[in-house]
Amino acid sequence: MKIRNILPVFASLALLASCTGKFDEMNTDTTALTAGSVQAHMVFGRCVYHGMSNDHQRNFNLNDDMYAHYFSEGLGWTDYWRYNEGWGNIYWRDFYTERLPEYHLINKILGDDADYNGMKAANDIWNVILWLRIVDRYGDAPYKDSEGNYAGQGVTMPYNSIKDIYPDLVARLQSDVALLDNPGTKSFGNYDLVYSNDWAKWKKLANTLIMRLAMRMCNTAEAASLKSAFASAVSGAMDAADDYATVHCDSYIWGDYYDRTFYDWANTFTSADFMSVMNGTNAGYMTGVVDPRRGFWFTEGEGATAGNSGWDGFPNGNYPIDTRDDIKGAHGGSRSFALLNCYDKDGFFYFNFHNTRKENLAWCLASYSETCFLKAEAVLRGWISGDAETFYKEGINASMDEVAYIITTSSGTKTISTAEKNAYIAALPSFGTGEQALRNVMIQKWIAIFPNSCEAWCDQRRTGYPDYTSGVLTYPTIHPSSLVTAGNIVQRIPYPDNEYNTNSTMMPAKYQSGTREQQTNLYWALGGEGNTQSKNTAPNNL
Amino acid sequence: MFKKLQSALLMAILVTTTWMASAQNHTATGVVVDNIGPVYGAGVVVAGTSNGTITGADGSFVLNDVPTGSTLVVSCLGYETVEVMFNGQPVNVTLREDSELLNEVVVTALGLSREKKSLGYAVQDVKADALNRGGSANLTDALQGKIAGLQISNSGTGVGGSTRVVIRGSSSLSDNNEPLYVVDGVPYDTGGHDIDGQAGLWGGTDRSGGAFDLNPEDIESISVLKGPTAAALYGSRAGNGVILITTKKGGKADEAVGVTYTGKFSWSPVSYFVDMQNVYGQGSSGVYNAEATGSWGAVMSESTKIANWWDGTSHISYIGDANPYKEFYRTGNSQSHNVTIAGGGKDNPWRLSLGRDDNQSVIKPTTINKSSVDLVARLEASKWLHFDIKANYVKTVGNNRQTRGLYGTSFYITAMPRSIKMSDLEAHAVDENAAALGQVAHINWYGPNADYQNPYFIQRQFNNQDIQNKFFGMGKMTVDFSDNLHFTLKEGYNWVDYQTKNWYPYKDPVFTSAYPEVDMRKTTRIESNLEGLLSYNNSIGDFDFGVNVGGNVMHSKSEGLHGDGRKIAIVGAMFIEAGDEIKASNSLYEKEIQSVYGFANVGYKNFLFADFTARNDWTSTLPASNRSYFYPSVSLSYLLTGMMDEMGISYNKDILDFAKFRASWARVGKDTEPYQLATTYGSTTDAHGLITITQNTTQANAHLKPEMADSFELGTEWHFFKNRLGFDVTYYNTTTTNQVMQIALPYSSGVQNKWINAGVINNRGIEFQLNGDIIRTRDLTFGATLNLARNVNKVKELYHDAETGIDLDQYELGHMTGSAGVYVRAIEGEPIGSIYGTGYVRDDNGNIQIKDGLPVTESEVFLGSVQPDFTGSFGLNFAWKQISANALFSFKKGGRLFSLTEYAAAHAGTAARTGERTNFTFNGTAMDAQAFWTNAPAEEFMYDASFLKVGELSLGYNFSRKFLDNATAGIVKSAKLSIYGSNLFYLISHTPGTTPDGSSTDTSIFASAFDMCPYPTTRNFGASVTIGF
Repeated sequence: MKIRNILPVFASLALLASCTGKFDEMNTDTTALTAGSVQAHMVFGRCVYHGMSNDHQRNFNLNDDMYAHYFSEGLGWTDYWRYNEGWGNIYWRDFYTERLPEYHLINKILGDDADYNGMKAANDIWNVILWLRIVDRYGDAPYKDSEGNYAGQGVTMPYNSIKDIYPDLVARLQSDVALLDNPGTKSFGNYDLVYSNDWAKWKKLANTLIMRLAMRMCNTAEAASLKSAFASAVSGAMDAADDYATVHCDSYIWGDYYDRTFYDWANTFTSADFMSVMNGTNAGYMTGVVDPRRGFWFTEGEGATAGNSGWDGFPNGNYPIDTRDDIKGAHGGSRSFALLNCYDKDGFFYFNFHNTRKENLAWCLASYSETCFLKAEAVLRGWISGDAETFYKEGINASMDEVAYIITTSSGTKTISTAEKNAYIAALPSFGTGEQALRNVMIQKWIAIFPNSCEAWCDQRRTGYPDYTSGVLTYPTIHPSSLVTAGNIVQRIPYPDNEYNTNSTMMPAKYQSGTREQQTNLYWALGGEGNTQSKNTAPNNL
Repeated sequence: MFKKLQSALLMAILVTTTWMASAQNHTATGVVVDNIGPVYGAGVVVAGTSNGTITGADGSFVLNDVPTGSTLVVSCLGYETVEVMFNGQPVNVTLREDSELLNEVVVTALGLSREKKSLGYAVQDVKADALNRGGSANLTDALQGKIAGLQISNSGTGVGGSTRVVIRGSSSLSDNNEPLYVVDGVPYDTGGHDIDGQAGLWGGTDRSGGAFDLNPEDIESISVLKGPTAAALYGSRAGNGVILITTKKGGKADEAVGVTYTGKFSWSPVSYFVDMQNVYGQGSSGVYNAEATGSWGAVMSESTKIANWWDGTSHISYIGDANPYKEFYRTGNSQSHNVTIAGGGKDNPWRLSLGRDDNQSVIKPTTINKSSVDLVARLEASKWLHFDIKANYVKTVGNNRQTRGLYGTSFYITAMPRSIKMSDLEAHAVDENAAALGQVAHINWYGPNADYQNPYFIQRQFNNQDIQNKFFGMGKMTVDFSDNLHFTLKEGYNWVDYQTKNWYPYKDPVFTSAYPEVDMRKTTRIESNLEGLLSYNNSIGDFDFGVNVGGNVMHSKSEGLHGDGRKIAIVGAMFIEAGDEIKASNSLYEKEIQSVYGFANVGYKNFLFADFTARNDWTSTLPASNRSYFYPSVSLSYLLTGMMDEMGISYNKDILDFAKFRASWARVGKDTEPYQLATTYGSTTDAHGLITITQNTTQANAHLKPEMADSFELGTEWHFFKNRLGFDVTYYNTTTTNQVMQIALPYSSGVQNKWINAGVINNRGIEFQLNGDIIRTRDLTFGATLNLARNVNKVKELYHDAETGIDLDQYELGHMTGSAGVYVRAIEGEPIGSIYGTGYVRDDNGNIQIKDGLPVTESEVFLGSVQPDFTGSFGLNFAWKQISANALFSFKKGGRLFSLTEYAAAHAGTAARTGERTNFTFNGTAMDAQAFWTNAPAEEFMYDASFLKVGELSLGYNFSRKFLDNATAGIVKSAKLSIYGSNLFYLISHTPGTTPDGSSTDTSIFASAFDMCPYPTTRNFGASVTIGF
């Protein structure tokens, strides 16, 4: 046989030698993990940290922080009650597509073994905290289908009403409390960024959350059944300043805390309303005494502009719309307004990231002070017995302890003295009774739970306090493109475009066909679902 | 000297392979003529030797020492080469002009040369000289305007930036519209999946597509196979068309060993800027204000003194630069040198080419240097066996390619008050004292924050280098069993070693979480293609036929390593370990496609031709049940003139030369990227130093199917008046179904996207080419060409799934949130690329509503489509004796774009349109100009993207052989000088100073909706010299 007749035979063999047998192996990404190697604690750590940190600027700072008048912005958007899809949709996206699947994944890994009870309960409690931020911001939401499957498991879900979601969340918290009676031996190791596997504290957090959820429904038909859940949670709830539920930031993650917006981007400022209360110059509420917490939360600005003391804040939505040039001195170089204090509890200035510590400020989720104010309100509403004013003052004292617990003033002070606390309490307006007392409770709660703007904005919508009628809060100039009409108050964040584009048929009918809605009350708001709150009408709760 | 070198090399090659005839030598004489008269300067060479001469003015030649029985090769520029046997008698040769295309041969699928007349589908060619006329270093840029229906747009990211090439419209929603590049029959790696290549709207560094890496001097011709019919045999990756590149092989019959030098020098001044006002400086409401971000202040003047912005200790004039861009950018320049040595004659041609290309971008620190070596050779081992090899090595080094779209230097200059002087910014960009202490070093007139940065700081902060070593090679063995039966075995190889390093030496208040930082990435990518093909050709009676059967194994693998050191505390320590936070990761990409295919062609009596192809692929990226897919094609070519000739039907041959009709139908299957079938988890170093696990927000799909494109095509081609006028028209209709793409799911399902097969996208259109030789004489030619294409694109269906309840009638290609709120979408029933953004609210009569003294705006108003009505080019060529000149005009009609550049300039008060401040009216209503422009919606900045531009102009001079022989004693055999310019003028353009084409940040459909210039667009001027020895 001639060599030229053999060549194609070899060539054919070479081609046939390869076959598809290795294709499955080839199409497996060896730089990724398969389900079998996923460990629960590694997912939980991510779920907790990123539940707070992910796009914190857009998720919280540029929405709830503005609505709560903790901060203000000069860009003509949310602070002017103008909806910004790019700021409003991210929490929804990250919650449903990252945090919720993480929650389900952890549950799946932990299974039914009672040794994991503590971990299971903590995972569920954490999930409730994140759920609240969906339901309280957007309203009705895809939660659970008719067969009892929870959202976030790969299939399209119907929307559930708040009135069904809230009782279910309370029931889940009650089961978590029961699980924590026998927490088992297993833990998250150093991945529990909230309480380091202190199951007793998780249990207190669950009880405080039951109180929060029950009280949120105080204006609704469900209040009748939930107030007993409230009453039975009181004894197991938080009872000390160091029960404070926090997650400490780490500068490792982009956009983690207010430093980005305050300093890097320089488009967020302290609020004139909140600073006037801090300064004791708010004629509508507090005068005559500087809040001892001021030096912990804030530092003095450079006060470059005439008429600004350096402790003043920037007015919420009260500058000519979107003319950034008029925000004199607030941007960049000369920071004339009061600034957020970025010292951690050991006095490290955060911005020198070359220090050995990466930990600094914390995100604050729930506290003993909040528990005290919930009790004070419950007494006023007749849900529990006791002395409302005592709970109120205990809440103020607790808040002053909590502040010192997480942060040091720029001058190094670590505690607030009893004398300072007493001086502040002495300067409070008369507690009064009924609506007046409730107003006092809610305004002090607004201050005490700073910077938890999610709760502050909920309280504002639920009780009307702090209020726009008596000048504690400044009513903003509403942007011409706002979805809120003059005289009304912002009540919700619209559903993301993604839902309108892909799931609008499942939405509550009132929001279908492209209606972006921001001023109609959520189910639990003051005045009831479907109504609007007016800035001109004084709140009337009791 | 050169003669000796030529002889030595020639002998070395020839001795081993050629049969040396021993015959008697004679003197050959003869005359060379064409249809007009004697041809002067034609080359006459004894085949396989260096023995040659040229014809005199009377067309005659005398050549000594010619063996009887040898072949004389007669060639001349502009004519077809003729070979004649020398039998001792005088030789008379009539040359036919090259432009007679009737027997033109083109390279088609699988590297097979076919007579163009027998093809039932559209192929369009560009030859080397036309390609290089504009002096472009980027091949894809050089193709611009030369092929009907080929849409080419620059990414605008400057020298070395990527270019978007789309043939016959977009068929892919996931922006995978790039054609397949095939070099000498082997798929060529153009970068693709793992080059961190493209800049986006918000940032990134554009590191170009790999087509840039081919040295234009090595290219013989480019054929564009436009439709799937032409591409059916190239398989999965050819669905968007194929760009077939044939490289120079050297060793033409008329030359023995030749040496050619080409030098090119070009200059690129920044030339197109957004129109700006030059009256008002920093401030607000007509008053200067040092804290203001906009240019809404007072009238600027040299005599108005203000405190300086950097430390306030001295005073500066309240006036800026007439054109700040010109202060910041320099004139880019490049030079390239190429030496080619070729020889070997017809049977054993070889060619070696060495190239060097140095580019300096318009922005100061950016340089791109490229060195290339290309070697091709053919070895005739025996009468029945020969080998072809090609080895191509290119090293590309890019330094300090500038980064970042919307946060790029050009953008900050656009939005900066007109009273800021660039020289001040340059002098006060970096606080070196602070930098030495590891403190924030960035100084700016305002901020600095993300919205306001000093461009000179960015220039010094963003340092990078990329080095790409790329080897492309091919070895081919051809066995001729007989004249009819051939076998080829070919292995092609792409090996790319690619590394990038980015370093940011200064602490910066804008990105505190990372800088100072060093980031390095290294990727090795290998793609091999093993291919065998058995071909049989024969004739039976009136039928010619060919049958070909072959197989291919394509294997592609890429592995990457990435290291990142952030928050470097030690000043000046630009290495990863110095980082306070260190991250490392690795990446993998691997896939294989195995294929078998066959095709048959039948020709009847030289006027009717049919081709049939069939291919089956097996891919590793699809599930076992769907990984095998089959696709066929059929095409027909019918020559009316050929039939009339055969049947003896007479027609006026002075009028009609050629008439052809063609039709074809094809299906092309396409697989997908690896790793999309199973859900996996990632892990990352997270906050507080914890290792955490991430889930994929895109749902895998274990049931993916191959994507299919079905198309049919009809065309006709006519030539008249001795080929002085010709046209070619093609109609095509392509429908792509089952696209593998990601769709957005409701987030509440728990995932953001899902891999699915979806979509029906139709592209149909007409391509038209017209060629005319208006004047054609020996000394003077003048011709014109016209390319015209219209593509109508429609999303016929997206995704509707009753089972999951997903009802998707629109797909988002990209968005830019914020006050412009621009979205680019594919919507069912509409063309791909509908632009939505903020617009005016109108009443029922169409009047814009006014509230509180300003127009009322709303979001997501339909603002137009990016799709043009038609595109095309018009070329003129002129030659008189040794002088040649060419002009190419490009045009586009229709399509809208959002001028983001002007939007930014208008909001900042720098745009020319904001120049009217005191008596500003909008639709007849007096308004505050500052309030109006700072709230103006996207709609106000929408422009017609139509244009007509002078794409290329060139002028060349070819020295005559006679002159060179006299002047250089025969050493220099050819010499050509040319000067050229490209992107010279826009004769029609509607955009506000910016360019309507080629000025966005990347090559996506989304980016084509914007004119956002990472750099101001340049004009290019150049000169080249080619000398042959």
